[in-house]
Amino acid sequence: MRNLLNILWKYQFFIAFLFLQAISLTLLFQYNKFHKAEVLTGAAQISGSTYLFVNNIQSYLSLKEENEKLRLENEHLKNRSKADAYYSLDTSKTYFNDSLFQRQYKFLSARVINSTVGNRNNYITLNHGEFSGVAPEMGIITEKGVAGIIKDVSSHFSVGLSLLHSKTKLSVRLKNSNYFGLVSWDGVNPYALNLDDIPNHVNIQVGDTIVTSGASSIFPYGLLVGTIISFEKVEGEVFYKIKIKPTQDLNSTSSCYIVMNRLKHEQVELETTAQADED
Amino acid sequence: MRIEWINYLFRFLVVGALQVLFFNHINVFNVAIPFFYVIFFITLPVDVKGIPLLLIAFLGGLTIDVFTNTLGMHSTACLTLAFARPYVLELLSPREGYEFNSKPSVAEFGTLWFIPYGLILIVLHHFVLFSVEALRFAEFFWILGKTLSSAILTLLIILLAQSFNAKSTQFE
Repeated sequence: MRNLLNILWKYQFFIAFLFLQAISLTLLFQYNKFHKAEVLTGAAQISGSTYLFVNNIQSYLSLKEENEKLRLENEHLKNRSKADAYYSLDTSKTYFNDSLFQRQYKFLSARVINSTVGNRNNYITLNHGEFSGVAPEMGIITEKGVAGIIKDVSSHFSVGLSLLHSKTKLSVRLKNSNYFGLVSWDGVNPYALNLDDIPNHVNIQVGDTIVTSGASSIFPYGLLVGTIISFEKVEGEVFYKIKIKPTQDLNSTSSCYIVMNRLKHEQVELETTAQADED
Repeated sequence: MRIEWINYLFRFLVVGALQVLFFNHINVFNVAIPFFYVIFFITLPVDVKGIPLLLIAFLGGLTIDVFTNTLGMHSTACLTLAFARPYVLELLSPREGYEFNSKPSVAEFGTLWFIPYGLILIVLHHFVLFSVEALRFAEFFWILGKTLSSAILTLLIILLAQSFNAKSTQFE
């Protein structure tokens, strides 16, 4: 017994090292299970507030670009406005209680208070949380295209997986031929995402536009994702190897919209019952 | 002694804030990211060793992790650095041994001594960090390249920071 204690004492440094390393590796591999723990929510609140404080100062530096972006977007929306249409229904005397006029997707403007592109798994921190109605699995878009998907929310902040994250899989389609594909990132070049599952026989070209498929219940159909920068046919494979460039430069995202799907619950419920019936 | 601890806590807060708010956003040619905060662990006094050193590294790494959503990644890398530090110090020890309370820094040991000392620890830290991040040995050479380029960048920034530090201590 004495010898054992002696040995333990002698190698205490090494044993302590192994012990702490075991803890941190457990944290690493179990991160998804831990993320609801109270401690971490508190930590997220602290890191969120810090990033918000710094971002409040930083945002003054890009006011000019932000104004420019807003004006372009206003121009686009004004062109779609019904106010100056040739013929408009006078709705002041009649009332339509028709759900057709309601929108399925609601957009909430949010500010990106922290984001990275250099890591293997990149995250976007936004300044809206549970109190603003944000929930996991909502989309993050900018006026230029898709940026990511919300993963965790605390009361005032939310953290989303960027498109540049190994776990982000985005269902897309080719804009001109409507073939479905899946966008993912291999962690090397932030300006080149992989597009899989496009069959060999489809006619594609460099520069073709990729849009969201609307199949996932996170994003509506037809939001810009990227353009094809290169593709090749692999011998003996059914699918192309395609690289696309995201239209939203994820390095310079400063403001964005959170996409909330009002009918998501209904769609998911229907899909699960349909699947359950088959089993 | 207590004042010294508070001093070091403050140092860590400054270094950590610089890392999280500034250096994490630097990405040179998409291959080199500086992890400046390791300067804190590298330049701790020689007398900080054993289990306290490991605990400091673990908690420090975990703090950075909380800010980068990478729980466990930086703490693993920092622990490895802390584990190797006494051995590297022994390997590079001066003939008459270390003086009491000396700090392994450019100011006390010179640039020529600091470069190999810093580089060994930085390369080790970065290699563990990038391996744990990728978790695929198929990408060994990519990880190695990223490690070396980032390590050189980190070392340069640390040397630069130390040169400011060296001057200010001389004036004191």
